[in-house]
Amino acid sequence: MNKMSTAHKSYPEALRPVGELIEGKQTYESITDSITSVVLERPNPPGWMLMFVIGGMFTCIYGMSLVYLFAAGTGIWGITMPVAWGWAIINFVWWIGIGHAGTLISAILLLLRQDWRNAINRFAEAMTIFAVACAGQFPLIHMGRLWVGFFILPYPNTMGLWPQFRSPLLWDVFAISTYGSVSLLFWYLGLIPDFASLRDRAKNRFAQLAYGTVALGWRGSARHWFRYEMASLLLAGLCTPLVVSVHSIVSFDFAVANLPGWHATIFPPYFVAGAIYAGFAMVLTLALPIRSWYNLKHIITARHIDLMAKITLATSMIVVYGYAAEAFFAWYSGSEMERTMMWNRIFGDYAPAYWALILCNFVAPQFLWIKWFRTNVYGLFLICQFVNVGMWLERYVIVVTSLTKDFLPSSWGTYHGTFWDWMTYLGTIGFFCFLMALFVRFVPMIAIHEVRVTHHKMTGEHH
Amino acid sequence: MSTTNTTLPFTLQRVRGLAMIIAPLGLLAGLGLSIPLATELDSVFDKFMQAYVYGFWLWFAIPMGSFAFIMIHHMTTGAWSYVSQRIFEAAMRTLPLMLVLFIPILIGPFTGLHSIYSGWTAATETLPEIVQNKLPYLNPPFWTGRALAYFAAWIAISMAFNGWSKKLDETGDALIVKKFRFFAPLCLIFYCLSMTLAATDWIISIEAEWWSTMYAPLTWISQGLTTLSFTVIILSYMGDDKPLSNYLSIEHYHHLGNLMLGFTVLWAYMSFSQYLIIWSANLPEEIHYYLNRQANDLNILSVILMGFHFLAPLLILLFRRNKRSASRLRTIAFYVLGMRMLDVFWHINPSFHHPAPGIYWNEVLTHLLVFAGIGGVWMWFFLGELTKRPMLCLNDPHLHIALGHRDLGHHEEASGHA
Repeated sequence: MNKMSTAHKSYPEALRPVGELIEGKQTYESITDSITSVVLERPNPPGWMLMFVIGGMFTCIYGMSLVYLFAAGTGIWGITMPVAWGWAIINFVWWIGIGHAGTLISAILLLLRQDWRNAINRFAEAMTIFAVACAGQFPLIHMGRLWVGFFILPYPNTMGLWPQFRSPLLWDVFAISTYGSVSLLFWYLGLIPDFASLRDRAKNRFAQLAYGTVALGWRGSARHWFRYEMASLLLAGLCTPLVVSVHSIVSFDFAVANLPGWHATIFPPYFVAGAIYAGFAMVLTLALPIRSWYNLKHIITARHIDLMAKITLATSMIVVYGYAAEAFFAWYSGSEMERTMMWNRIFGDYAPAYWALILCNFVAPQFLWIKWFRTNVYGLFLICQFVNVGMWLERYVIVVTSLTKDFLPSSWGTYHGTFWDWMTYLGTIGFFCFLMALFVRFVPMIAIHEVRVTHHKMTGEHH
Repeated sequence: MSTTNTTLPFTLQRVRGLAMIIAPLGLLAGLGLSIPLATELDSVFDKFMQAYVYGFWLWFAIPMGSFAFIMIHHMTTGAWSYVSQRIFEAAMRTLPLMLVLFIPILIGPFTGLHSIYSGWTAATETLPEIVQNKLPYLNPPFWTGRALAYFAAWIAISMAFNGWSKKLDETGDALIVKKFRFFAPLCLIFYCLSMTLAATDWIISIEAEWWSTMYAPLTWISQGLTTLSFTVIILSYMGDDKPLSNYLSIEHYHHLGNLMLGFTVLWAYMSFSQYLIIWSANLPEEIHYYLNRQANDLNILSVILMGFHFLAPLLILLFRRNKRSASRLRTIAFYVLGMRMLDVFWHINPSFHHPAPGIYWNEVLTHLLVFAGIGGVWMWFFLGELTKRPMLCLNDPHLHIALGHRDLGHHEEASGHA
């Protein structure tokens, strides 16, 4: 790796990658200081305060929305016949998609030995867990009767009732709970050595006790590190198929239904690519401001930003291929139903949503071909917002266009979200921001020991 | 050094010599064996062409897989692809030959010389309504024009990339690398789009009623797996000679093995997803595809593919030591290629006219002979192309990456990192 680093330096100027993985003249101590001081020393910057307060406010709104929902039932939402799956499923898929980047960065990039992941994996894993927490609530609350939520679990009961094992909705229960659990475990495992660093550096007795407890007696011995590395690798191996399987199963929720626009064999890989795309856009959405608030630009560098932007562009192209394949094969199929569905999607009542989605997921990311947009934080942040909106619209278009006009014209209808749909959705975004703000403040948001490993590989410096 | 040619090792020289003998023998024997296969629905030439499409599609996977990998190589500059680059490039240079080999298939829809595509070339009034709706796309002039356009573009891109690569060899000009980087992603996108249409035109349309949006991604992955396996085999024979032997390390095989593992899993993932979605929907215009392939002894072939195209290579390739030995990985690569032959047979043969779904063993023999015949021509040409350039582009600035990678590999092995 040493040589790889110097090899880049011997490149002709025109071929050099953007920046370095760690910028400036750093030492092991300066790296540890930069990250631990966010938790132990620095006052809260205004950006963080804004995120915390607005996030907290919308969390309260979310709570109010839920109370009203449980009191009045799902009639407060816009769902109706024929659209019995409305914003709840759209939001669910949107959040689950966002929750994919974390594990992809942590597990798949670890197996692919991509060192650039070291500065962003912790952050992305936290995002994954909070996004899955938001997603997991929708299947429960869309029942309207939360207290019977346990019915979705297969357990021996006196009524002899079992869930339908052939339904992908049940597979979702298993897939998401497994994904959530393994992601949480992976995240916590990575945190143990860093909690120990916080324990050792904390001056406040309460912080010493708290971080000491969660550090589980980590002493940094060779045996500890050996076991830690083995466990990380094993969990990465476990997580990798989960990344692919979770969103594939979510895509089956639609694809196994005999509905034009839903029944498409390309759905599993197309959904997985969409999830990674949305996830990376959200990582960038959060990383760009937070690294600026806490002066961490030397650790989350222009190189990281450039690489994440490139992955966003690549996955956007896969997603767009999915749109093109859906449209082309709807026409190629010769099936009247498929063709009518696609015509309705592109030119029907919901055409503005479809074209807005094309603008957000196809046109906007094309700017990422240009280096300036990949390295300019404002330009990139703006593009990421297009992606965040576009991925929500993608699910909206899939759900609504196929359901509003199905096989029988007599059952056609329209669908629009209500005020409470909006509040519930925005409420989860607030909840997510609130959790992220707490995470940034109380947990080392960058994996200290892994960035130190990157530093060692780049400089060869010894302790 | 950088402009010298490559000499084939003894084994590959013999393969090249044998290839030119096998080529006419295989094709003639295949044609001869097609005579007793003729039926009321299929003439002798039809039966021959059914085997020909099979053989063509299998060998075609290597130049097109190489096309995609060359683009990925210039985008990612990985060490594994650096040592494979010249194999990919030589395979890409066989695309003009593939066009010549495609002519017998190409002339069918226009001239009616064979009935491979009778599902949409028959008289319009005899076709089901759903197929009639496809005729603006599936009609002989448009179909033929598209095929020629794909080949023209693939050959032009192949010539450009090969030309630049040769120039880089001679001059070491960094601007050429910039050119590669600029065009590679665009050409990869073009590969995906054009292969989608080519797979639809040449394979999906054999069963004119059927379609699947997953089929094209499955084709990319299948071509990738075939190409990787083929590359491992060629690399293992060429790796003992300079300049490759100076740079090729066991790490490169390990990475190629990991890629084979990844592509095997992706193949299974896509095949299973496509099956599950079509099976659960059970729509008449789709399900016949799988009903055909589940009937009689084809069902056994389906199970064999699950067990031996997915499960067995998965388990074998999971073990590190199998990927860190050139001879072992070569054996696995031969095995995977064998499975690819079965998989392509499973995909194509049941689409043709048969009295009842099943495996017809006399057809299997014809398929094998024609496969060997086309392969003979292709291998002879490919190995000839392989000798025209050195096995490494020594003036490429990425060589530093390859060297660094090798050192990294030793370091990790020493530390016991899996």
